[in-house]
Amino acid sequence: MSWIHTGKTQAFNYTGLDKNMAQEHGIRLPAQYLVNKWQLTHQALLMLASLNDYDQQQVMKEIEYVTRYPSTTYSTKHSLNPFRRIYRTRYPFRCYHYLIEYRTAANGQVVIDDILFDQSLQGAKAGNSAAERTMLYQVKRKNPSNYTGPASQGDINSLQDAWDEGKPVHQVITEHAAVNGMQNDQRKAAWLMGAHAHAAYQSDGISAYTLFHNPSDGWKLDLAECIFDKASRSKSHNAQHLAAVLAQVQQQGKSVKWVVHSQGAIVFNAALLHYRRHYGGQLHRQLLTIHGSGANVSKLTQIANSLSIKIVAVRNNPFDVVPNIAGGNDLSASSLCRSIKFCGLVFGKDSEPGVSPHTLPYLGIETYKQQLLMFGQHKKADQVQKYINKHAGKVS
Amino acid sequence: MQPLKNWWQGFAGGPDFNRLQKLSFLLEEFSLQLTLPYSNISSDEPPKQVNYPFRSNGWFEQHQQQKDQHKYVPIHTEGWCYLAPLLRFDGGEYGWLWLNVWLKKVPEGIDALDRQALAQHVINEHDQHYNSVAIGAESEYGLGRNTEIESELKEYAELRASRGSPFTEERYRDELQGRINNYGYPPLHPAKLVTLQGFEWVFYQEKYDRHPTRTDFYCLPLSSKFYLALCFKHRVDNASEKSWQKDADKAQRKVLDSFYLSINTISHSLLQSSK
Repeated sequence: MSWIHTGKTQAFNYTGLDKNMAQEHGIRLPAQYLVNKWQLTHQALLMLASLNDYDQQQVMKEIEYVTRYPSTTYSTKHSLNPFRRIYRTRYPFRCYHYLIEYRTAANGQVVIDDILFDQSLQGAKAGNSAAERTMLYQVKRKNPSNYTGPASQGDINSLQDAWDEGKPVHQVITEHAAVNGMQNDQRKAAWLMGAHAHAAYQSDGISAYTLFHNPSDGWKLDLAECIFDKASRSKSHNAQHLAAVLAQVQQQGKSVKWVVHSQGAIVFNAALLHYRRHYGGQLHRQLLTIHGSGANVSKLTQIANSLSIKIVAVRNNPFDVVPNIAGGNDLSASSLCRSIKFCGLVFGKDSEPGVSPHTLPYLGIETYKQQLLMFGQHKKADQVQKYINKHAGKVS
Repeated sequence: MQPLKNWWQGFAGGPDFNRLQKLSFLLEEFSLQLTLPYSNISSDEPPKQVNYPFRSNGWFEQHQQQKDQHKYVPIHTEGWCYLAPLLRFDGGEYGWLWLNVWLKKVPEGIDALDRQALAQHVINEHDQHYNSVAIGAESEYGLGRNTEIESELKEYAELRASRGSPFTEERYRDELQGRINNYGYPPLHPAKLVTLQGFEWVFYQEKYDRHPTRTDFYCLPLSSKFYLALCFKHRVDNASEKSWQKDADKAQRKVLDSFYLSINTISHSLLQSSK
């Protein structure tokens, strides 16, 4: 269920939500909103006000439904219509991941008592990645392991256990935040983006960060989402959600250091475009580091600069097909050759863990060469050495 | 042929039992042998230690590490990654099977040779760590995480009550349970005794209903204070893919079958006489 009826209310302290009150609490009312159709307790009003714009709109949609059918006990969590999932601009689920607790007054009017996370719809979903929701998680460090270069098996094992699974949160409440790439279940995204956040802001000694989880819907739909965000004027629901998160942190005066990886860069780029069109204003308190960018870095930098976001660093492996070709960052003949030679390590049969130039943070070309050597990829390591020599001005 | 085989079985990678390595470790009078497939994960391995004089005074404390509630001396770690069969995007990792061989110590007052006591201890160790009254600072191994969740909810419930919307007792209990089940550490199932390779082991699982990732622990007492733990972590990165998980279960059984522990009676009797 995404809502629960908690009984009748009598002398409760509740109020309607009119234009003035909405403005006072920073709530944007939907276009079709009917004043006094439903009432809110003080608690529910403050909870609604604490949500970002995207969450507010989705929750109010749900409240509208509850108001229309207050005695319903039926709730379908997943859309059965496959086209709903292909069209990435639309939210793919019928119910949002907030639980609406409501009561009914003597006159039958619905009174919203509280708005909380629905415990059954959050977090990693056992056996079904596609059921995961776009949500914010506060991920805390659990064990003191970091990715700093070639590591032993024990270290790699510990790295995956360095971060907890993440607790759902309404807002960004940490100094650092991250957006993950494609095909990342929530649990994988939690540890992998922890490693990326540490690599991006090493001197900060990050003990917790906020994950904007971009869920995976399988590689085909993830690709469709990239196309929507890159080519379509209306952006994916993930990008719309992230734009609302950015608007909220900026409005709250929070300075957040973001790190985006792979498809996360595409989502971030689309979010900035959506932000500029729908919210406006500057994002001068936000800092950004880009890893393995699926987006075009110069375009992303351009829009980030126009919104006064500071780009801290860009870490793209020169042998990574994703930033080179998919991101269109280096379409030169030599980059094309490099990317084709190494694309098997990202997409193909040779993409064993540790050798992909894309998944883990790029810590420099020498580190990457070492990793290839350790895995017995001597030919590939030689090619990397040639690249190092060429760029150091000593072609052998 | 390999891509066709991968496509047919639904995954690539995993342990290859045609390429095996033999590992031997000396733990005082015990000689431990494992026959393991080579890992398919790129790593930088330091020189291997083979001698573990765990009875020496202060040796365990000097070499111990901690991960979550576990304080241990690592003996060996080997991992195998499972990948998507053909097309891999962004790594395409389905999951990982990790084997950790640890030496662990029981606290004062517990006799590890009493397997029932050891079975009780391993479960208590988990529950006491996460339900500890003391809440650890960041990166303190999740100490008191359940307590922290409860105190956050209590704070929220008080705030909510002060705004005129108190929780009912039942609703509060449900909310707390939901939060602990979702991102806390609910109690584990009791440990049980199993017989493998002629030894009686204490077996338990660190597994939560929210996700198929789990760790199977096989604990074998070496003395009244120390025990050996074989920990198989099945890390699921893509929960929608199931075929590789069955293969990982099979591989775990094969690795357990290769376990061999013998007691060097001469050194053992010398040790006994010197005590």
